[in-house]
Amino acid sequence: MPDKITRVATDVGGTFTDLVYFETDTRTGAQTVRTDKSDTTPPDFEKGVLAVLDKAGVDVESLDFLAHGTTVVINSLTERKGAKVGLITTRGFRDVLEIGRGNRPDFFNLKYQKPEPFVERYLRRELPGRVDFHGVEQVPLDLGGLGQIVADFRAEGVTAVAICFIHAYANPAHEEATLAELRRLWPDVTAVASHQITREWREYERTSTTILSAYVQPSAQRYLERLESGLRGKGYQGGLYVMQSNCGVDTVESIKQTPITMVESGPASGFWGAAELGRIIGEPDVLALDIGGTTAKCSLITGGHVNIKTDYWIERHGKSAGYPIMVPVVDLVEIGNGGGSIAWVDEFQKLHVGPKSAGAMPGPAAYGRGGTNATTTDANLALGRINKDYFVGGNVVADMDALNAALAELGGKLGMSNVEVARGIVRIANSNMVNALKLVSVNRGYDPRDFTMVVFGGGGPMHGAELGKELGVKKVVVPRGASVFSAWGMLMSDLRRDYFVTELMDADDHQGLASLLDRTRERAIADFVRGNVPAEKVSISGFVRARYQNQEFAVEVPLPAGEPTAASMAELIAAFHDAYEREYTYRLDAGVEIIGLHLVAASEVGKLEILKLARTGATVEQAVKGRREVDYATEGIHEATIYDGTRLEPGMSFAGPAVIEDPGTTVVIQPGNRVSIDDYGNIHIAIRG
Amino acid sequence: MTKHDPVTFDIIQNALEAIADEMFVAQRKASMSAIIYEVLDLSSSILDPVGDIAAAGAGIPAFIGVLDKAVKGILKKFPLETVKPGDLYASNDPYYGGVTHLNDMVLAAPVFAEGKLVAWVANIAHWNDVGGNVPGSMSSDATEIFQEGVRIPAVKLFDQGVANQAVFDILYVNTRLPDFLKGDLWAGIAGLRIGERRVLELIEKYGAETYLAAVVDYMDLGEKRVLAALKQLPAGTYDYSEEQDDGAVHKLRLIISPEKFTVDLRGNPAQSGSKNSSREGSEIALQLAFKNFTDPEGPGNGGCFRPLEVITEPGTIFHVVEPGALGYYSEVEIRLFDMTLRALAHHFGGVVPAGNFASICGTVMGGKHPDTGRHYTIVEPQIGGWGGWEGHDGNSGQFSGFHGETFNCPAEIAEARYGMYVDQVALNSEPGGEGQWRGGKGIEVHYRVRGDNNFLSLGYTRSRIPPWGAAGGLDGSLNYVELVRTDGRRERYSFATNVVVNTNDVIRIVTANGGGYGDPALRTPEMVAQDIKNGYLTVERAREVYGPLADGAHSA
Repeated sequence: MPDKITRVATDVGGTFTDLVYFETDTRTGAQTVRTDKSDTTPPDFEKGVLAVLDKAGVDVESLDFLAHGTTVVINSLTERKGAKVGLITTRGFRDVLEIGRGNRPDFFNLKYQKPEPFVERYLRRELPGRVDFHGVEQVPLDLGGLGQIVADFRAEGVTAVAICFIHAYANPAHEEATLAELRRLWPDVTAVASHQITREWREYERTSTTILSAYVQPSAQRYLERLESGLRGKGYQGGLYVMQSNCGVDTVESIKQTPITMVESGPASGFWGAAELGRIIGEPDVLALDIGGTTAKCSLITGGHVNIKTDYWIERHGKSAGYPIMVPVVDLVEIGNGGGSIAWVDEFQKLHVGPKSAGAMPGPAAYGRGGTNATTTDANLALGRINKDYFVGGNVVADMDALNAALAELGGKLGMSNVEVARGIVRIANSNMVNALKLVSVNRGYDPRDFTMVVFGGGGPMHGAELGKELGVKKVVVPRGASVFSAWGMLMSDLRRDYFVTELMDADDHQGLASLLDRTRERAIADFVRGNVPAEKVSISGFVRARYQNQEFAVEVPLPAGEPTAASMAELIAAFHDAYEREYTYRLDAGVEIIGLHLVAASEVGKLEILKLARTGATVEQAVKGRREVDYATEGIHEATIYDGTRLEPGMSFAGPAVIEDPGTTVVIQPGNRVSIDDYGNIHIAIRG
Repeated sequence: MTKHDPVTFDIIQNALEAIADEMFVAQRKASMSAIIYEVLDLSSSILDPVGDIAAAGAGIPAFIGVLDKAVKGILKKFPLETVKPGDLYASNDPYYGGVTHLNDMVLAAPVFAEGKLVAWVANIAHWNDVGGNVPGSMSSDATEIFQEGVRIPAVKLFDQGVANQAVFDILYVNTRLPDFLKGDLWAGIAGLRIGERRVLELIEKYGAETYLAAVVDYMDLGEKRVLAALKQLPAGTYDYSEEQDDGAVHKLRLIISPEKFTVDLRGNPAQSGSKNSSREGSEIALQLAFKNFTDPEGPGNGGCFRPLEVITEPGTIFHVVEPGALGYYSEVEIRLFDMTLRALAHHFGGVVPAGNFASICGTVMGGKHPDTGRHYTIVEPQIGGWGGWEGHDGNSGQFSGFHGETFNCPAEIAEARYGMYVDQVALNSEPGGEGQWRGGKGIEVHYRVRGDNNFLSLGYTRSRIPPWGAAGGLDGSLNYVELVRTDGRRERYSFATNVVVNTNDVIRIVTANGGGYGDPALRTPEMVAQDIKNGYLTVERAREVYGPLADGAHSA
């Protein structure tokens, strides 16, 4: 047995590449943890990863486990830096991509602009052949035209091909045949077919998903290959695991085939971390909030369960219908409200915050990099909530002149002083975030008062306690290492794949369900075995997706234990009625149909076990850095006690007004709130009622 | 009056929008009918004490400003001083606060705080069946409202918290779908209850006086934003008239000043059949057009419509009088909406895009599902082509201006759910809508019938007179349905009820290409070549409307 086990997670974000390093001494059980950050290095993101490993002094050669999360996929999409894609689809359906779903979110705007398709019409080509929704062939596939399509695609400079046929989720044979023939005709082109990514119905969503997957595939593959070879060059022997959007990790070999599953890997690991943290501290119901530089994201965790859905869209907001990506993604709401969000005044003297962000460059005015816009971070500085003498962990000298000038600019338009403007920015940012948090809780029938709020990311701890009070949650928890929490979540993740499969059947068809279950389970186990995970190490759980006949919305009901039987189907139907009523407030005396499965296959790969921290006997007074005036916006100005977060230990407790500072985050604690540090170093803030 | 903190106003106003949305979500979720939870034929609002809209929840844009008319209609019958805590009113009768047609049920409740009435919460939703002489209650043959279902003429469902069971009983027996009606009714009540609770929480936090001041400020903001846009238009009187598919001529007069936008609809055709709108319904169509061109970004509250004045003539299609029928009010409203935009485009070039397919294109198909034996019905509006505007080609395949976040049904789901195959979902390849900025494409969708004795009903306008080009752009193409029988016979329809269709008949749903904007000669040769390459345009048509082609332009 080796004398220590070392694990590292790295998370490439928009601004920083984060690292979390855990070393467990196998004899004493003692754990040491290091966190570090370095700049993200576009377009060669792997350089930032290798740099942060160096900076943190990680001995890569002896490392046992390395998990990695990255924004390369989402960047390639939002910056439109992907492959030139050609689409091959079923005759009669090449315009599905351009038609989309016909909706217009900006619905008073006659000059609304529909999202531009990622593939122009002349690169959307059709082949004859049809299967019906049962998967039965109606018209045989005719590949006669494929040669000409390949010739045209080559001539047009196409670098990736997407194949998506109608009802291929029910029977992928035509896609498989087309893919095989395409590879024969054009061996070196990147190609992907819809059934490799999703087995669900809805042709627009599936076509879009396949195209976007093809679009990012060449660059994501190159990136992962460079990262792999960089790590191997440093002597890394272990497995490289990549974070996916479904809160699990997967092997790099597998991810290279469908890199689109990485699209929301950063938020997914953070929310998974929040669920794991909830389990550790005995709080299974969590309202999780991640505030970064540009956006705030939130997700609801119930009974320790993170909700994974395939209803994910990029660039979808009030002004755009966006683009669907039908892969398993953690259920989240994102708004353009982060530390770098710009405050502005419209022509009718109304103050707004976001969604535009000052980004990393120039950043908030106080960064002193030429930014002239006041951001939420600037407002927090102006109010003394962030320590101007310990800005960005003491790494940046706050440019208070630039900050004051930026606030004065807004104040001039509003007839308000700088302090009033700064309070206004904080209150409006909080109001935006409260509304987002309500979307994932009250709007879905959950009462926030039943939840513990877990806040992380650079900005979460700064706003968490105020938001928690506004929502009425009982407690706000700031995890240890809140600013690198996403990387921490990765170390807690399993090797996991979610299989969403559409297959329509009546709710009493136990043979049909048994067959679907067998086929899906076999597919899952084969996938794991191919990745060198033995079948007996794979745990399978999942849900049946059911609805009242002909309805639109399906509800997930846990799979009954064992093989489906007539009796267990009756239980399943009863459970469906209950789940439906919980979600939609009524039940019907109507037929129930099953529309498919959501199977979760998982296997532990070097998951970290978190141990309690030692207590040195230090007193809370020893953690006090000093006192300063802090403006709590709605709760007045108070002299707050300032604590050094790195010196807080389990068992310590104190009351607000207070601020906790560590190199990565600032925790703002209102007067009257009680703070206690748990056995794992997490900060619990009890919200005064 | 105390001076209020503007940031507190902002936060209350944001919260009002969030509450209206929450009311909407709660009702949508609890509704049992697909037309509510899928087509989003519903709306919710928070109103001020006298019934002006403070904030409206998302729904279809055609429901903008429905609920102020509803609450004011209710207040005509129940004076403000008689309204008590715990009251809850219902109306579906356009002659008594119901606004649209009998299928749309309005529910409204007062909110009391600190001993006085501080707000109303209200919603409206389309109920599948409220009785009448045809299933679904909307008959194109109806001539009187009595044929269109049960009339609920602004009555109390709850009187100071006590249910008026008689009304519930009357509703439950006057429908072919009592379970759905019951579910949809309680969903509406649930939406109001949530709205009431949230408004009270807000008032508890900020006090009634601050709350009411924030509402006034919000409406003033709506008005200010609209007036700023109105000032851009030259004052004057502007007439416009337009021929319809059936040969009738609709007309309007716009009287514009910096403070007022008056639309005079007097002199329009006399009411007849069920294609009529209430005065309030016409007002809504004009409000939507007004909002679209003045301030699409701002809040949709009562303040926005203060400068709008509407003059109608009782007994006309835009102001039906009792007992006129209103089942197909929506095609009347959308014709008025579209004519208003056309008048603006005509007199003030560039303020709005060229014309779009501008019809709900309501399509109903049904029969026995060949796999399950169960009855199926498809009820769907169609998507079509939108007009181009300066700098932009129009959008293809998008729902009408009356719709917003409405989604079409995927072919893969339609095939499984309904007794039809979907042979193609394509853009309309007919010519039309060319211009410097061309119109977007309509669609051509083919449904192939899988069994005998299925039926098709539809109501399409812009089936003879195409969507209008603007600033020299060409007109678009037409909305219609063509039935291709198995023996090759073709039948073309725009309005029809219960046409029998049989196995392997193909129903070609064709919606219009939108109008073009600007002289086609000004379209760049590169864009013309790209249109040809993309198959949006044939070489022949390109030569005809765009002139000689650039080198290298060829057909894909």
